[in-house]
Amino acid sequence: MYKPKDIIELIADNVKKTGNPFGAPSKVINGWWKNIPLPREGDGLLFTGLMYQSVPFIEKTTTYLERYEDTALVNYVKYGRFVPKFLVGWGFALLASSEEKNKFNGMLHSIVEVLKKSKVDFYYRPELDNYSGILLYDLGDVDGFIKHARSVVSKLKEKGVKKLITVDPHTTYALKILYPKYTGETFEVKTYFELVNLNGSNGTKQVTLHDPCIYGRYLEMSDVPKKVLENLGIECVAVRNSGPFTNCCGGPAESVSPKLSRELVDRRIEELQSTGAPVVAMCPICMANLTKGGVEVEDLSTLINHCS
Amino acid sequence: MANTRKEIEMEREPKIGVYVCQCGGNISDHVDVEKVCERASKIPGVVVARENMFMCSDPGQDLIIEDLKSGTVDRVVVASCAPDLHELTFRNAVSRAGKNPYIYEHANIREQVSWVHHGDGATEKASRLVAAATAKAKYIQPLDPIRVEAKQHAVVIGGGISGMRAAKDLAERGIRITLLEKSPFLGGRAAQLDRLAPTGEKASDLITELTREVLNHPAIAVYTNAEVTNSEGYVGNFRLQFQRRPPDSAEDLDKIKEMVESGTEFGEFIPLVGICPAKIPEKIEEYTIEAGVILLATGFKPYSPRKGEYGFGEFKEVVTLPEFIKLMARSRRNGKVLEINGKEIKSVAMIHCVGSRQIPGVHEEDETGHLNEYCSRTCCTAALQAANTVRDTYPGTRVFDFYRDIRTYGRGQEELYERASKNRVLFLRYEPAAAPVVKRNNGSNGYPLSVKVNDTLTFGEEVEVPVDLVVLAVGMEPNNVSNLVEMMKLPVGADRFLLEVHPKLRPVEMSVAGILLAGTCQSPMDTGEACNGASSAAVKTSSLLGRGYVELDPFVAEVDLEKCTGTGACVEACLREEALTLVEMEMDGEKVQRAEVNPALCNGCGACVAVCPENAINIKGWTLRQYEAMVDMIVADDIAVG
Amino acid sequence: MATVDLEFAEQLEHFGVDTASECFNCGTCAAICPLIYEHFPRKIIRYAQLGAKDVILREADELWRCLHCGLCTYTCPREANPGELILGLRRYVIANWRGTAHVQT
Ligand SMILES: Cc1cc2nc3c(=O)[nH]c(=O)nc-3n(C[C@H](O)[C@H](O)[C@H](O)COP(=O)(O)OP(=O)(O)OC[C@H]3O[C@@H](n4cnc5c(N)ncnc54)[C@H](O)[C@@H]3O)c2cc1C
Ligand code: SF4
Ligand code: SF4
Ligand code: SF4
Repeated sequence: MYKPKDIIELIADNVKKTGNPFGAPSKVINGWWKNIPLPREGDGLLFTGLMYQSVPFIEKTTTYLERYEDTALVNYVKYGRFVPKFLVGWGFALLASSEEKNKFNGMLHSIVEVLKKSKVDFYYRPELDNYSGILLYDLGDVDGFIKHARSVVSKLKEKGVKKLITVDPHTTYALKILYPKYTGETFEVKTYFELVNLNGSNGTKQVTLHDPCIYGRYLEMSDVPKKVLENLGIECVAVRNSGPFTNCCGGPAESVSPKLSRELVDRRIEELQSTGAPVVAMCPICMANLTKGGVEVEDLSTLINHCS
Repeated sequence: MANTRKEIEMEREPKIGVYVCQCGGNISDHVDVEKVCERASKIPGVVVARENMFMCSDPGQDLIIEDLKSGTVDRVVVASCAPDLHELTFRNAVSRAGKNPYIYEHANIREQVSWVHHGDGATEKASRLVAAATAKAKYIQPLDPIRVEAKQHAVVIGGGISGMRAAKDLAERGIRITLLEKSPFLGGRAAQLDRLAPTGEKASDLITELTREVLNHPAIAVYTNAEVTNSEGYVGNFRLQFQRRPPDSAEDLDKIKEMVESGTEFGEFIPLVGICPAKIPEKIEEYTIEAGVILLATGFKPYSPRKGEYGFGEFKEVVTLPEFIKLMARSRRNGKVLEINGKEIKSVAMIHCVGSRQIPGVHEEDETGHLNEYCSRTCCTAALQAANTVRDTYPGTRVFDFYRDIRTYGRGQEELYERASKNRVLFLRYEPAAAPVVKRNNGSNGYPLSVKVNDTLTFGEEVEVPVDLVVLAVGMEPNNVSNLVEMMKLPVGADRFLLEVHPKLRPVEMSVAGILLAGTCQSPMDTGEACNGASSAAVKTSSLLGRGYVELDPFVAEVDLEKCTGTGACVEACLREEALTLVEMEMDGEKVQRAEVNPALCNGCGACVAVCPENAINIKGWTLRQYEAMVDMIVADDIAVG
Repeated sequence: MATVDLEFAEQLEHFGVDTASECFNCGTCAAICPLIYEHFPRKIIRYAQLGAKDVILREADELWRCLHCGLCTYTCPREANPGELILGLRRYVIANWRGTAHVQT
């Protein structure tokens, strides 16, 4: 196990400097929108919170972290001598392969497609799309979280943004529940699949849907994506432990103990695979962790996009 | 005359019916009931032998009634459970068939056979017991119960809530009551409490109201400072002597002095003490009263911890729960912070089960070698009530509750536990063998004591809590009434509380006829339960006295005047004063001394029978002849094999 | 050994640890927690409830095992919100490490 204190201070420092936990300028991470046509004006602001975009980098980092966990090198994290090469700044940005980056950026592209097909009035502005700060909150650095959240909010307020369309559970939870509580600002927050309105006929298909903890429990909205798939003729096979009792993929343990994270994902994969149907995720962290565990996982957005 | 009638009846061959109960397998799983019946049917005099799943059920009893009514049988033997459970049931069945209830004999083949033996031996023993019963039945005579006039007057001993409740209920039924209270005060322990759990009513209100009703009732005579000095007689006709004495307890005298100084009148409630209804006597006053029934309501005393038990007697900051209730009630009148002996109390520990649920080998016995193995039942609720009072009244004071188990068993009590949790009372649980340790706090945190415990809720880890005060939730012990026990020959349980006949079948009666139990002298109870017990005892009393007479079992000594030579050996052997006397009478024109029985006083113990050189005295229903016949039958060769 | 710190409970409330006293130590949370680790989180909730400040600071790192998955909070029969308590304790510990003003050390 890494010393939580070291990890937290490192991440807090990164957020302070660059607005995201990785210490690389957000511009470097957030490039997915560059080559596709996106409206700059509209009703709801598409707010990715930079989660999908970050996953290729996190993955790379944690493979390193995993290698050094339980070795003496763990202790060097705090000195920023050894690990910082890839945990901080540009070094980090260079780690991820473009193949990985394309994969996750592709999911965001699918989300855009799906929203367009559903005739949702939305727009995108990279300068307003910021990291939510959720990791700081989760790790317990509530002061850092509040500070960061306030800066995110002030940018949105400056532009008069009222409606937000989110794409992942963590950002959704932050904006919907935590921001009102800790910054006093409330937005109308909807997840993209709540806005999907599509029909299809691929009636034979069955999938195994992995409910993320936050959608399943904190927000109790597991039935929404199910309904979306149902309308497309896709059946979600019952999974042992789902909905409010869904099991964690283990992703959140990554920053402190990649080893523990691995243990948990193995357990969850066993449950998911026992259905026999292909696995579908709707959170980039679940996606990455389940993939690392050795299963092929499709993102909800690409599935919807293909079947509609 | 009587003798001649007997001779005639004995000559006629009896027709005995034997009824064997299976007790739903309780008996028949180990005893071959069919075989027992078959063997019984071969015994001379037995005309029918039947078995039934449950003899005590209506269909079972109907078997007996039909056989009696049709004239098939004129003696009944039931082989079933112990006689104290159902002998009366079957005698009543015989009565319902229009016959004398004493033509009945009972064989116990459950407690004495099927529950303790198995296999062939069980069936053999059952067969022999049944055979012996038939032999006795052969010489059975119809008997008449002894009827004595009952005094329409009851004595209640103990002026706590139970005694007063019973007195009030009985007086309402038109029965005159004498209420004797040992101390100068009415109200007992309940009067020393603040608010009563679980309802939260003020003890003072409850006691004041009940005491007023008792004192104002024309049918109730109350004597405080009164103690029974002698008791004789029997149900319906007890005679008690009692004395009123100046109190010898310095504490009581202080309380009275305080009362007078504070201007409280006699009959007014003194907070945390009770009501003193009358001037205390200046010298001993003697009284004698007669009564049909005696109700015991002598109550309990809180367990008094040994010196050093949880620091009691060593640290002044360790008090018992009854003391704490008083301290707190007094502090409440004074101000906003919980202050005891001038010191602010910020942290209180409560320790449960002190002096209760003691385990042999774990707990230390008292000086008489005794352990209180029972649960005192009221302390959990009372401790939680006190904890809630602390938290509600002084939010700045923390409460730590060290328990073994929480037994808030009654209506409205669990809510106190819930409330305590909501009130942030912190619970810590200890195992009996690892009780909390109270020590002087050597740290500099300002708390005089610390309580250390291996807390099972913290996975057995040692937890140390700094506190200002330790409150011991002491259990209940019965008040010492050994003089009454001695005088009235009262049965006492292994737990030293007074013992009822049967917890369910006769829950408020003692085995001494006419003596009943009310409240905590019987077992630990809260006031609600104590009043339940008191009201039941009152109802039982009024049904006992309601007929105007009482019937006693006729199994008493009977003198055969033809054989009696007046040696007086029996009178000397008799255990009960005045039950047996030598009287002068004329026989064949001569003045002689002969023994005479007072049936109402005779215990039927048979001590006289054993010593009479002439075999001139017998117990009715249990004659020597019957014993001989039983013994012959038990050892007869052909009983178990037929 | 754990020593109860009488002022600690009030201190924790500043960090949102305000439901610990609801816990009645049933262990449901520990049974459902995917970590399956040394009575986690019940044990830590108990320390918070006791006000065992010394133990919490000594074993602070354990707090970061929690995935914030919410299973325990969802199933706790007393609504003691164990998962949220863990978060609150993290906040307390961080403030303590950082020596933030309103924490007495
Ligand atoms: C700490 C504590 C807290 C409690 N809290 C509650 C509560 O919140 N709610 C509740 O319902 N119950 C409570 N109880 C129980 C309650 O005190 C009893 O149920 C109640 O007092 C029983 O009444 P009693 O009349 O049976 O006995 P007692 O109150 O003991 O009265 C017996 C009376 O008989 C007298 N006496 C004894 N021997 C003789 C004798 N030989 N001759 C003449 N008189 C005699 C005594 O002087 C006394 O006045 C509590 C008990 C304790 C120990
Ligand atoms: S009522 Fe509670 S404190 Fe009293 S003896 Fe029973 S378990 Fe112990
Ligand atoms: S489930 Fe709730 S009440 Fe039970 S031990 Fe856990 S926190 Fe406490
Ligand atoms: S939120 Fe944390 S403590 Fe609760 S079940 Fe999930 S991992 Fe366990």
